[in-house]
Amino acid sequence: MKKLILILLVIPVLFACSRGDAITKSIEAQAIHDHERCHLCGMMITKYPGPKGQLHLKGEEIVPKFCSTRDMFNFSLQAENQRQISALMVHDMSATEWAHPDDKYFIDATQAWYVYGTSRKAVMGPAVASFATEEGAVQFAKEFGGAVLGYEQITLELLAGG
Amino acid sequence: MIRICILAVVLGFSGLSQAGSIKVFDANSLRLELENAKPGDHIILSPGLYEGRFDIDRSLSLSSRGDSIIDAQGEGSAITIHASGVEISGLTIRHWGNDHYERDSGILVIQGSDDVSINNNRLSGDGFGIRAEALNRIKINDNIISGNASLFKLDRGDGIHLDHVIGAEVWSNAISQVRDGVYIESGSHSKVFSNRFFDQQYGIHYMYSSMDEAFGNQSYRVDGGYALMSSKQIHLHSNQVWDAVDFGILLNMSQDSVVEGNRVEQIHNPAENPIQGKEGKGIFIYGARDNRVVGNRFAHCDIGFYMAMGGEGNLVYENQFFDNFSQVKYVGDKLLEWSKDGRGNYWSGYLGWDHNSDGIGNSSYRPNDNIDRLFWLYPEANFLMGSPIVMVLRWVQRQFEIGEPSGIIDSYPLLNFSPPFDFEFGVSH
Repeated sequence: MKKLILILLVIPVLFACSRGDAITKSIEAQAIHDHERCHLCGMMITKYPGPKGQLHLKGEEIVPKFCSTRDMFNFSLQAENQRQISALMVHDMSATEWAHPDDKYFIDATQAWYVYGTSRKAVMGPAVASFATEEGAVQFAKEFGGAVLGYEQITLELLAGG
Repeated sequence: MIRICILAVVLGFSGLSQAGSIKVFDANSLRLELENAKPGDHIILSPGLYEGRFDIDRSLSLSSRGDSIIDAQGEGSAITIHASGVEISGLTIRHWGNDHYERDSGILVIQGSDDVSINNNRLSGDGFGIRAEALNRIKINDNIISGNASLFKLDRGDGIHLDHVIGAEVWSNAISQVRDGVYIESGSHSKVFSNRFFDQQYGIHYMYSSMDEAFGNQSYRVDGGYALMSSKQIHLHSNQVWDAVDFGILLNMSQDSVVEGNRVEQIHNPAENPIQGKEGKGIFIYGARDNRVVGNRFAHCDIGFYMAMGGEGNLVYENQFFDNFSQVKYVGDKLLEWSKDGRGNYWSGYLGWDHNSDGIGNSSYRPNDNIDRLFWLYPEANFLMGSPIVMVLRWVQRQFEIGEPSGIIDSYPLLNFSPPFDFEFGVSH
């Protein structure tokens, strides 16, 4: 009996070894095509304002893109998806315009700074504005309101509470 | 005699001040009469071809006595309405443009044009079938609207696109080969019922809308049936969706809505190995709170009910889960009770007793066990799925609760079901 429970507990450990090894590789951001649809909500991506997200999956050619950083987090923070992700990217909104973010300015989401609760509108709920630097985020928050947060502070509870 | 005179005078007078019927025969006479007509006039098109684009800037009605075709010659909107109280019926309208920025439509209703009625027309073209903006109480019924199937889905217009419209009524239309059948943005108090939607993205798509109602609609051969996004207090009931790839019903950032008595069947992604999250979902809920999902039937889907984390705060009861490949997928670590006042849901896989014959199973039902959760978290281990060791593990974990209980629990599983409503499958008229 105890052995069975042990085996059950060991399965995650077996696969835990491979965790994170792909992150060290540099992964190129893909441009978002007019015809691409949000991986989560199915909507057109480029039609709507605000920062977008994309993520790269282990062993998967397809690069899911998202209509908003919010929907990207709504996907990437799901327990079943967390372990499959090799890279997460968001637009740096201090480098590009809000209405039509330029895909040249995708940055590593895990190193980015965020402003939540801002007056600027994105899509699929309150915007999660993303920035390469803390100064960029602070600057934006001064202008358009909202709280400056680090990557680890973006949680499903935060998004659901909005 | 005097009476007849009075009658004649009255009739004559009313004839002058009231509306008249005006017959037109070609595009030029139509254009002329549209400029000269008095409010309330009724312009009747003789059978024939009317080429060009037409503007209506006063309250009048336009109809046909036969086969009258308005052809916009591939550019702009065929008919643009700039006035309240306009009625358009019985026309064939075709070949308008596809500039979405310019809002190219079969019939474009400009802001402030209240109480417009559009009925019994046939519309086919690239851009929007009917588009209306910032107005009240439009009625759209018994039209056949088709888009251009050769265009990429997102490059087509919507069948009916309502933006900032209050109190719209849309019924008995057949809409196909468009982007969304009915797209409602930033509106309220609409009623959409008894429509048919096929060969398109979504049947009905709500965006930033509130207090709307949809019932008796059918969606099939679509990406998704009914999408509720960032909307509030939508009552979606007695609708049908089958043969969809992505979802039957989607609730995303939507609140205080009721999804009731809908039939959702055969939601299936035909891709061999759909990438995570792209399975066909009977209902997909994420980031949506305070909704009620009650009395629906979810049958023969890849996943009957996909509840993402962040969708926990919803009431789910009296639904039927019938032979879905996975009845429920919820990977969150919370324990969620799916029943209300002693009534849960019907589960086709439930094998429990009912000692007191009250139609409620004696033991609770857990659509997923911890082993399911393990495989969701570690899909790399899928090859072990059918192995004897996993079967033993499943048995063991049923006998002893290992770890914190999490996932969906139905403490009052129903043992009987009746379909939400009897609808002949795939009926067409």
